[in-house]
Amino acid sequence: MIESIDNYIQLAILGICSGATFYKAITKQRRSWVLVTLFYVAFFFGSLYWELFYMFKGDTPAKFYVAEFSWYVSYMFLFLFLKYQKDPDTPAPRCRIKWLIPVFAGGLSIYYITFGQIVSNITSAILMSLVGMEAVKGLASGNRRMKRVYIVTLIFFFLEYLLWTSSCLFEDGSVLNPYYYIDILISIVLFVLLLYAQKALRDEVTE
Amino acid sequence: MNYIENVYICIAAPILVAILAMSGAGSPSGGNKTLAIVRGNRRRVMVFLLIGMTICLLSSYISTFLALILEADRQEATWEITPLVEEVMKFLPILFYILVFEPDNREESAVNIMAVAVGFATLENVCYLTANGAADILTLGVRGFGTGVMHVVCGEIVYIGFVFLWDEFWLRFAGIAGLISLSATYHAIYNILVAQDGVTAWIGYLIPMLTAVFMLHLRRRLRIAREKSSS
Repeated sequence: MIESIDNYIQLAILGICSGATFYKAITKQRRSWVLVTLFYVAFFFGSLYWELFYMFKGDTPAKFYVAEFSWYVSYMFLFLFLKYQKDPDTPAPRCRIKWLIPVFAGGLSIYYITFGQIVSNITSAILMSLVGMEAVKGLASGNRRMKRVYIVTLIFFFLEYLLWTSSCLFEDGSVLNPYYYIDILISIVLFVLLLYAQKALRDEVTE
Repeated sequence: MNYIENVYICIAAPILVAILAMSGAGSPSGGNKTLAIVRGNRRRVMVFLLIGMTICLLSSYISTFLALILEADRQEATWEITPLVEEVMKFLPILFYILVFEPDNREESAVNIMAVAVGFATLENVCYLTANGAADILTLGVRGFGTGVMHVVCGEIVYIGFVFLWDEFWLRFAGIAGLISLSATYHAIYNILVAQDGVTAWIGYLIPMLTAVFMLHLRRRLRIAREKSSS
């Protein structure tokens, strides 16, 4: 029951975000909006596929990584969005702290690999590291327009890892399982990310 | 038992003959005939149509092979393996064409992915007909439009990458890989829905048609916006 509620909340929020960004991408016709749209649509498709598979088969997809590919692709689009938001006139500052991100992601992925799915865990660690590093680099660069987007992206990054870790520690489907609440929190964070991305892209035009 | 190779030969033979006949009529004397086949506009569409059918045949082999390796049953293969295999395979000829022949108009060339999708859907539908009969016109009509349009929509999703994400190397590489994955998920969602009974299947069949109508509207809007900005 709680799993379905969690999934429906996430699908509803992602559906709204996908629709809103899609509308912006059409009206503005800018690459930044296309990338944000693709991030939300990919995340939405992955979650929708997962939910439909679970609904009609009563089990999670186990033979191939269709939903996982979609989620990884969404991380990749988020990374590309952050990467192409840099101010071209500002030189990139040296930022050693960003290397803590792959250390953190790599360490946890080694822990997850003990539960199986080697390729999937390595892929997610690489892509999430890219997202996290880009957000840390962005914060260090002092890009004020994107500051909040970088902060929310980092919150998203850590919440995703919290979610995956909780799925390893708590396997029951009860209401007390923190996994579902973290997942709902991620959905809210994704919505907040859209609001800040919208503001940042609006400011980009006015600057 | 569905003899997909026999169906393929039967459907592909006239197209192949037409391509060869056209190449004879239009190629310059002493020129590279293979290149001339691909470069001629009308012939090019025929070539991609035939390639689409060939890709359909090859995809069925690869999907079956992967299903055997992964010990997947028919449902798991249709919902998990086939969509990804088919979408990757459909993209490869266009990638080859753009990288090897380096056409002047990239966007225009990317439209050829639609011809591949149509060829693919044609052979798939003919195979469905030979396996299930052609008595029920309503089901066949819905299936024809649903599956056919779904393949075209998936092609259009990848086409977005050629239009918006081709400028820089990383964007091109990651963006198009991402869009292929996106179209595969769309395809998989469609496969899950149409495998059900009743309203769910109808929703599944309707989704690609609605998406196609929406994309048509979108293209028109984009064209108008471009014309306005250029004038």
